[in-house]
Amino acid sequence: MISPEEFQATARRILEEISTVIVGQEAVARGVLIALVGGGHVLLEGVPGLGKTSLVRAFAGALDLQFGRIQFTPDLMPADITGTSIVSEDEMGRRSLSFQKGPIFANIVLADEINRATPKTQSALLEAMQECTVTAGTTSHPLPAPFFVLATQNPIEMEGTYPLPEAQLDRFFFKLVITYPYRGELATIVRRTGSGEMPVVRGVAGGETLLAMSRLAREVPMASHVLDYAVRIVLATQPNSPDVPEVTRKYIRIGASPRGAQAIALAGRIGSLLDGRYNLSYDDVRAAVHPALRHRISLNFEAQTHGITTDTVLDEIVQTVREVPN
Amino acid sequence: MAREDLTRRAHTTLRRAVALIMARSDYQYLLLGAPRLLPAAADRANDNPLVEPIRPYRRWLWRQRSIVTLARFLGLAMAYLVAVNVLLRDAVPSLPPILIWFPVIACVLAGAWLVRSNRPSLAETARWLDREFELHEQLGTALECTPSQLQGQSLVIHHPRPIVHPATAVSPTTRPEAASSAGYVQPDPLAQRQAARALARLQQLPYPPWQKRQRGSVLLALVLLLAGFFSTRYAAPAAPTAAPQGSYPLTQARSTGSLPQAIPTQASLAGLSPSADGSAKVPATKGDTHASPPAQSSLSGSFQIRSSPQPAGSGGTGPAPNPLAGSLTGGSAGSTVNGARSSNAGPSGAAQQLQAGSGNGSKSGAQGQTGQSTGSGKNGSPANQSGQPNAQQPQSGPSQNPQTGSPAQGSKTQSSQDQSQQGGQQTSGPNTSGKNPFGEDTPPPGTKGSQSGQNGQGGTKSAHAPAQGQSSAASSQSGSTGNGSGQSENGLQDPRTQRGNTGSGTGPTQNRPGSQQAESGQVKVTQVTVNGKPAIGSGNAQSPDLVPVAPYEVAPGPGLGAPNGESSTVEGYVPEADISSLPPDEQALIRAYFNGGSGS
Repeated sequence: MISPEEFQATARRILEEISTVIVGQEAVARGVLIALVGGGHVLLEGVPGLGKTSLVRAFAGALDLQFGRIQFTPDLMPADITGTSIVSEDEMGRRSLSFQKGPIFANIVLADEINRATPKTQSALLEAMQECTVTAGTTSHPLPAPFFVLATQNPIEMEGTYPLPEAQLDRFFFKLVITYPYRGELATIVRRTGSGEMPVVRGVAGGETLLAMSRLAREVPMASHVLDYAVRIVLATQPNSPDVPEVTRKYIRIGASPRGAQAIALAGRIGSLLDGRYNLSYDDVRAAVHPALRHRISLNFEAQTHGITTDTVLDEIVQTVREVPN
Repeated sequence: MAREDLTRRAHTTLRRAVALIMARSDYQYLLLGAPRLLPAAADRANDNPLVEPIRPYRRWLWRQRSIVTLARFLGLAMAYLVAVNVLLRDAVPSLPPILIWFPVIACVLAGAWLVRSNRPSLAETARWLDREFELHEQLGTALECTPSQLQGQSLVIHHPRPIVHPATAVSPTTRPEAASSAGYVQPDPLAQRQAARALARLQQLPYPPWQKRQRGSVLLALVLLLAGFFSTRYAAPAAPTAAPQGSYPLTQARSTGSLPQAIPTQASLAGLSPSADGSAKVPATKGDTHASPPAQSSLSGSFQIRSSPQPAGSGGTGPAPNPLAGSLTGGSAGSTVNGARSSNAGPSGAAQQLQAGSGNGSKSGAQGQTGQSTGSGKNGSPANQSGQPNAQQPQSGPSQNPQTGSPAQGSKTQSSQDQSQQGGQQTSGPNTSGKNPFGEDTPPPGTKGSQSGQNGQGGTKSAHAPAQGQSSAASSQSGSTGNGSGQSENGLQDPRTQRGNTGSGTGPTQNRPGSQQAESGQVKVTQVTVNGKPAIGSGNAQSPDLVPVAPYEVAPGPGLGAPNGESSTVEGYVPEADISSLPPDEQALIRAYFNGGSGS
């Protein structure tokens, strides 16, 4: 069992190592760490060149975990991800089918430009992301623990892409949006990369530490009224629920699933530990709403035509839902 | 299932109502309590180490909320009192007391019940403290999630180190050496540590949380309380109670105890009998009182009675000779209005007498009373003084106008004005005898005398007056004016007269109530003045200087001057001291007025 102080110190060390490679993007790095501690997967969205892949690599290095990368392309097949059974011949000359593990068998899997693969290939990740197993034929192969999928996608380039199905989007713990760096950050990036010497990320925590942190985070006490607040926020995204905000009825087609509430609660707990507190608070819930729900709600056509984003809708919902119900 | 749903809905409704009551206070959200989704059992865990430290805050919060709740309910009750007594008084003069006091008592009881039933729970208190001191829900979580069997000592942060420092504290499970140190008593698992920190934070909180006092609420409640008290004090009387006809004890006036019991009735008093000429009589209906003083000389200026209103259209049947015109003038300014009708009352002869009598009333004219001396500047001056503030309501006051110093002219001031606003039905009325040195339609502004001079021209002026339909406004207006003057002179404030319910105009014999009342056919106003002082006020004008003669609508019998014994009811109060100082005949007259024919 890890202590809260050790939890906080470990997280601080990880983020410091990440910051040696990634300039700025503290919120994204914190979000990725929260998702990793929570045992969830992260969908990173951002235009090309913002360091999505570098961020994932940095985390893999800081956590001293096995890293696998899959470049999603339209012709990528599911077996290219999960692996396949091949005929192998032993020393005695007997032939048998043996399972050749794919790149998904790693602790941290980078699914780069995941939306470029066909839905058939994308669905190959469903079982792995939810159950941490891969089934080939009649045999299920467990994935190493911890197992994380860090996927990236480009929101701008729509040509030749396949939007992720809702079922797979729901399996991502967080969806983090990487924005452009500020002026100072950009200058630092240019200065740091111009020297030709790329910093090396040291491993400061292992898989066991990460799992211990995850166990500790699940012990953070959570009061009923705070949990109720998180639940009401999730319910407020469902247009068929009673007493939902007007923005929900107007713009949301599909609301968040129970996984959204789970993600908010767990992310809030981890966030409180990161902040040196031992309980879930309203602020923790609010901080987890956007990354946990922005990919779990689907906007309707009217919202799209009006340029409404999920973040805008969530902002309105957070403002509408009160901490204490009426 | 249905019952549970009903209970839940009732609970929700109650909480919303209380939240509405507590709106814009610092304690509103406390009323919302624990979410229904996962009810907290913190209140039952009395062995929780956080319970005892939170209790003082709970009591403090309860007190604060009680103050706010009670203050607002009291304010609501007092506002209701003010509204009823001030605003609705005219509309509903005889509002039953139960309608006045039942909502007030209900408000107070409801507030008390809410105070008791909405006692903040420990969980609410903890959450309120979390919110107030930005503790990030530490106390609420600790109170709810700490195992109840956990003893406080196991959570104790050692005294040498009052607070657990997160950065340096270590878990005894991972750092045994730290556990053996006196400085570290680290609970594990995480829930206990969280409770320990919450306990430490709670011990650091100030008590009371703040010194904020509910001064605003208390002040508002006091103001409304005083307003309600005074409005109640001067409010309309209670519902009328029946009294035996014809035998109303005049000795209700305390001062009359020493007076002769022989009470002159209307019939026995000279001049009080209705005229034999039917055409000259004013048809009196219920609530109508027509003063018919028997002798002008004896009673002139001594007192004045303003009788209750006359139904619309009742006037105009013909002037009633009123030999007591100067002495006992009835009716408010409104009655003057009625002058439009009651002007009827003024056959020229009587009218002249009345004018003379009321003209004296330069003083009383301002008050709507008869003057004591005809054209005396002495009398006139106070009238003018009192009347000046209201330049629009020129009263009698011929004293200032030497030309109109004749008593006969002065008295009609109000009546003329009333008439003028009433539509000039009194053109042929008693006012016609008045003189207006300033011309018919050009009353000197602010000069009572001049306007009283116009009284004589009242008929003329009234001829230019608007339609009769405005009589109500006119009467009320003049009534208020007269009242104002009456106050200034007598030093007594009759709230009813202030409200313009009683006309104070020195209308001649048209001792009629305000036309507004007259048209409604209800008895509302009766005022008797003794020595120029409003001796008889409304039923609820319970001035300490006044003693009740008869409650509202309980003095039976025909009004003075009322023909054919038609019933008339009066109300009012007579000052004890004043009535005892009056000559016996005047006392008898007053008694006769209120007795309504109960023997002489």
